[in-house]
Amino acid sequence: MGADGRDTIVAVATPPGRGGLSVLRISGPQAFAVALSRITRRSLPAHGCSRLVWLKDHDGQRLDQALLLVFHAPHSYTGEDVVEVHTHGAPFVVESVLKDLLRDCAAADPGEFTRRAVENGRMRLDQAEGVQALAEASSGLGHQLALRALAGGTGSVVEALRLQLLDVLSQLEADLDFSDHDIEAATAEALMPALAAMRERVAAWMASWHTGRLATGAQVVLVGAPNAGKSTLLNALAGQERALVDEGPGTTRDAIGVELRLDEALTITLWDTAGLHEGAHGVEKRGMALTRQRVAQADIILHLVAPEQCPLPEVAGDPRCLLVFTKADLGAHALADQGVQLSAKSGLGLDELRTSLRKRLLDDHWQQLELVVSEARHLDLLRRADTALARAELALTASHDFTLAAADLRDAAQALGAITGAVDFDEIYPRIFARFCIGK
Amino acid sequence: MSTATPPGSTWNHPDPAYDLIVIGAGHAGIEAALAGARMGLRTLIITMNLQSIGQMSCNPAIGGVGKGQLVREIDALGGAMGALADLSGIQFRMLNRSKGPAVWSPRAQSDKWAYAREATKLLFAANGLDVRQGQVVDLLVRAGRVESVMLDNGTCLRGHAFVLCAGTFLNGMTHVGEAKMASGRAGEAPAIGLSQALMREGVQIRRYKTGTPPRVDRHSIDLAGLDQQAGDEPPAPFRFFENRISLPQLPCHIAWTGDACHAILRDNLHRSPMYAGRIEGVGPRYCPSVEDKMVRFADKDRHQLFLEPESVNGREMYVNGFSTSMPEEVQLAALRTVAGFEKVRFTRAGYAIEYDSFPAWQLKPDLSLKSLHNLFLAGQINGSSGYEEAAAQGLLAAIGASAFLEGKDAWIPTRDQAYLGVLVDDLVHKPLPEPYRMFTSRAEFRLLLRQDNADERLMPQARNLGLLEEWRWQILLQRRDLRQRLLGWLQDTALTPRQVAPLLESASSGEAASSPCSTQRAAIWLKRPEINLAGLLASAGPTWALEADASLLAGLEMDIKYEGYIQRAQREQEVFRRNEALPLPENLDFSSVAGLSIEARDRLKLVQPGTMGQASRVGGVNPTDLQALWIHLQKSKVRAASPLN
Ligand SMILES: Cc1cc2nc3c(=O)[nH]c(=O)nc-3n(C[C@H](O)[C@H](O)[C@H](O)COP(=O)(O)OP(=O)(O)OC[C@H]3O[C@@H](n4cnc5c(N)ncnc54)[C@H](O)[C@@H]3O)c2cc1C
Ligand SMILES: Nc1nc2c(ncn2[C@@H]2O[C@H](COP(=O)(O)OP(=O)(O)OP(=O)(O)O)[C@@H](O)[C@H]2O)c(=O)[nH]1
Ligand SMILES: [Mg+2]
Repeated sequence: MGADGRDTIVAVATPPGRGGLSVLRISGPQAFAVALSRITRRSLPAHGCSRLVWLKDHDGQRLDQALLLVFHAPHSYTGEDVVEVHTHGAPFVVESVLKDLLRDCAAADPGEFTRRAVENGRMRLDQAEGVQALAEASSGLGHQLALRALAGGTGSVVEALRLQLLDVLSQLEADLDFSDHDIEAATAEALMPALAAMRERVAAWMASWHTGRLATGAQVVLVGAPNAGKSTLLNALAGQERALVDEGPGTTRDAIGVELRLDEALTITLWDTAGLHEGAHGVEKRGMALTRQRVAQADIILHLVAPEQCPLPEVAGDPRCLLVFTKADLGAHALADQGVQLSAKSGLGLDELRTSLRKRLLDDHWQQLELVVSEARHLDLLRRADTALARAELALTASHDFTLAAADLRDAAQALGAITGAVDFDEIYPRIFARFCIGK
Repeated sequence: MSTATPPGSTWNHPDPAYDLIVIGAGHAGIEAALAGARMGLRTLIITMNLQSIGQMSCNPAIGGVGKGQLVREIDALGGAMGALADLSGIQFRMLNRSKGPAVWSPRAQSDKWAYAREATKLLFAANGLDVRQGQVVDLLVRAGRVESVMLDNGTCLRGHAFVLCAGTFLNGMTHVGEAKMASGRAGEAPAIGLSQALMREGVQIRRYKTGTPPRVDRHSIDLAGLDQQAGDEPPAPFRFFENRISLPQLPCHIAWTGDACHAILRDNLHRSPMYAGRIEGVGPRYCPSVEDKMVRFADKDRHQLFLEPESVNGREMYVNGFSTSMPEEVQLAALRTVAGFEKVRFTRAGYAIEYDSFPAWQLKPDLSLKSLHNLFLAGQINGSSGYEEAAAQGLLAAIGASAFLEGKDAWIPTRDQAYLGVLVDDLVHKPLPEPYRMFTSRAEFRLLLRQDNADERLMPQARNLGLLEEWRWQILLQRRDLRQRLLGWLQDTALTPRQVAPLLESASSGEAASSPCSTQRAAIWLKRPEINLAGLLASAGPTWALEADASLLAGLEMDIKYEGYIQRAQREQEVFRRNEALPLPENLDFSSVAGLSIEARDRLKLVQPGTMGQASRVGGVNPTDLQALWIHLQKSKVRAASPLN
């Protein structure tokens, strides 16, 4: 426990396993003292500078040659004194260093570095979420959205709207509290356009979830009658044998997911599934149940139809469905112009499939959107704001009650504030920070 | 500064100690003394001049938006202000009638002489209450307690608890143009000595200022040429369950300033004590002087003036909207440009007053000083402004003093319970950059805190405290019962579209055709904007429902119509209560809490809030600070629980 009541914490910031380098991070009031006690030199490098040192343990035994990087509070990631120790990457070395540092420091809780950064005013909640998203980024889209969030883009756009909302709210409040004064009365007619414009923006943000949810990868499911060529297509797209293929129908029973990069922007999880057909029972029937589960969660359904087959009504009508006519090398399909025609065997049409998929999933205009919602938490809050704004409109136009409209606008403002962290501390913080991994 | 202790005076006490001594018989003092006596305390009220008990220093009116709610709550708690306003009222209006019921706010013009007379009568009629004239000039403090007070003639009076309600009088200084006078209110002496006595005890002082418009002679105004504003008919009383309105009802008149007036004011700005820098005290933004309006609203080409009668028969009238401390000749010249005022004569000139107040973070929520446990402060001296705010504090201070004398924890109204709760909590915890007045927007639970339900919210508490007359309690019980039966009827009775058709048609649109064609319960019908409860009962209700009066119906209607909102507010109320219930350790050292911003740390150290909820309101404290505080508490809990420590 430091003089100001806060622990000094330590954790390994790089992923476990053998690597060239590992980084340990120490943060807190005792960070410098602890670091000094582990090196032969009398001083630490200056703020923002690094130095190669011999690292000793508490008892003076050499542990490793390491690079020390020093940041002074408040100009550090956490806003506290921070020392980064870059050691050689062998797990045994890293563990020894960590174990030794834990004699003088506490082990960081999951996400504690970032939490301290938020607590010390170094970043807002939405930016902290950006940090997390960046660490998890698995696609170009995810990467870009995380960067936007980290740079504060999400927060400042939302905050700007919140301030606008407070502006309208204050007009209402003025009208309620100073109606006996000589001020211009607020009218529903005058306020409605502003409200409508705000709702429109919130609606656009909610719609952007369509894109934003893909940041963590899209779910694409291969569905079709047995023998449609699903497993073959999966293997072709994955570039390796991931699923068994056989001439006989009913080969695939389990749902098999393969993560692959569609292009530089998008990552998808492609699911091979058991073929759908009438009269199945036993293990086949259970396989079909799994197929339907995957379909329920799919962003896109690729419905495979072989030349001798017909589209299945069960899936063909789904708006998420893209028809894929397989085995083109064996002959054209009568309905070929309603979807993509390809041959997994020859590779013909595979690029066309990739392009169609990409088009269906991601509208290139997303770059121009002022906000792309990629956190489910944000979407929830936007929904709350939207309902509150809708209620406010009703209160203004139908019940003509400004006090109700004001309550609704407060609610909406609170919801927006919650995105950036201006909200009840005890409700969202624990949930958000539990998601963070140690050392991030 | 000089002291006012008479030469050679010593502290000797011929008389036995009072339980409670109230200093100052303004709006705060009156409530404190009456409540103290009613709760069974042997009470003394001392005031500088027995001729000016309950005087309205400024506007001859009680209530208004936010303030009217306070008056209703004071009345529900057994206070005097509601009845005094009714007895002296000469025009009653429910403000905000066109807005939601949550902000309906009663206001009344008073005959200010009648108000003061009724207040004086009440004090002299109260059992267990002694009244005397005198100026308190010093306090005798021993071991963190006030033992007695000394009057300007050397007389000493002992008490076990004290409530100080000195208003604008402490080192009061009035300004009219270049003229400056030591005075507590126009024509009255200032109170000297008390501020110094408190400063000696380490209490901090701040200068605030306020102003008032000129009073004019009715005979010098062309009233016939002005627009009139009449009151509501019939007038609705402030007091619950009793109508004591008896004076004739009078109109107010409306006039407008214009370019000529503004030009005169602008040309003379340098002569205003505010703008010439002769006044240092901080004044309220929401109540600007007319010269302030020239500067801050320079683009407005006219300002509204209300001409309000100060009494039924007298000639003095109050020029609402023309508060000023300009030299009298400027006030007069500017006002004479206003249509109807061409020949105006003043009975009193407008002026500004600077006075000492005590930043209220020095108080506990029971309004006692943190450093002097048996001294309670109430009213204007706590940095509030307004009669209603003062009266509310007087009442609460007496409640606090009574609890203190019994060695119990005081009842302190909470923000979700009453405007009174918002008032004390704001005063004691929030930073106050200017004199504080109540607004409805200060109450986050505004939809729950309505003037119509103050009885239900506070009378049970008033009864526990011994402040409520038994007959009023009995009426409350009857009304509760009636309300319950009405609610039952609304929830159980099915009405056909035909039964409610007349109501739908009478709604302006006439689009009765769009109404749903199914039979629904009355409570569901009531949720439609075009249907109101009174109409519903009149066309389809049971005969016994006629017993219910308008205010009972209004409250019930609101609760049903806005059920969704009320429920949301109640959910927020629960979160609020959870945080209110999270205590902070009494002597928490905020320097040891990591992760607090410097601003938050300073405010918290100063205010020393008692709960997490209070901490959230001290100003400069944001959610991350609260999070840090919360983590600190969790850690200290863990440490406290660990056997090693
Ligand atoms: C010029 C002026 C302008 C104002 N303008 C506004 C306004 O614009 N808006 C507004 O809301 N309010 C205004 N007010 C304030 C309003 O008058 C007060 O808010 C209200 O009266 C406060 O009530 P109180 O009980 O605290 O004090 P007061 O009503 O001021 O009563 C104080 C009482 O204490 C007595 N007293 C003081 N010191 C001593 C002592 N040492 N010993 C014995 N008795 C003492 C006095 O004689 C007086 O009776 C104004 C007041 C003045 C004087
Ligand atoms: N000629 C040709 N044959 C193909 C093509 N794709 C798949 N096949 C053949 O069709 C048969 C079935 O292929 P699978 O990929 O196992 O079909 P499936 O849809 O996964 O079948 P189930 O798992 O049984 O539902 C195999 O014999 C494949 O070799 C293709 O593009 N051209
Ligand atoms: Mg297969």
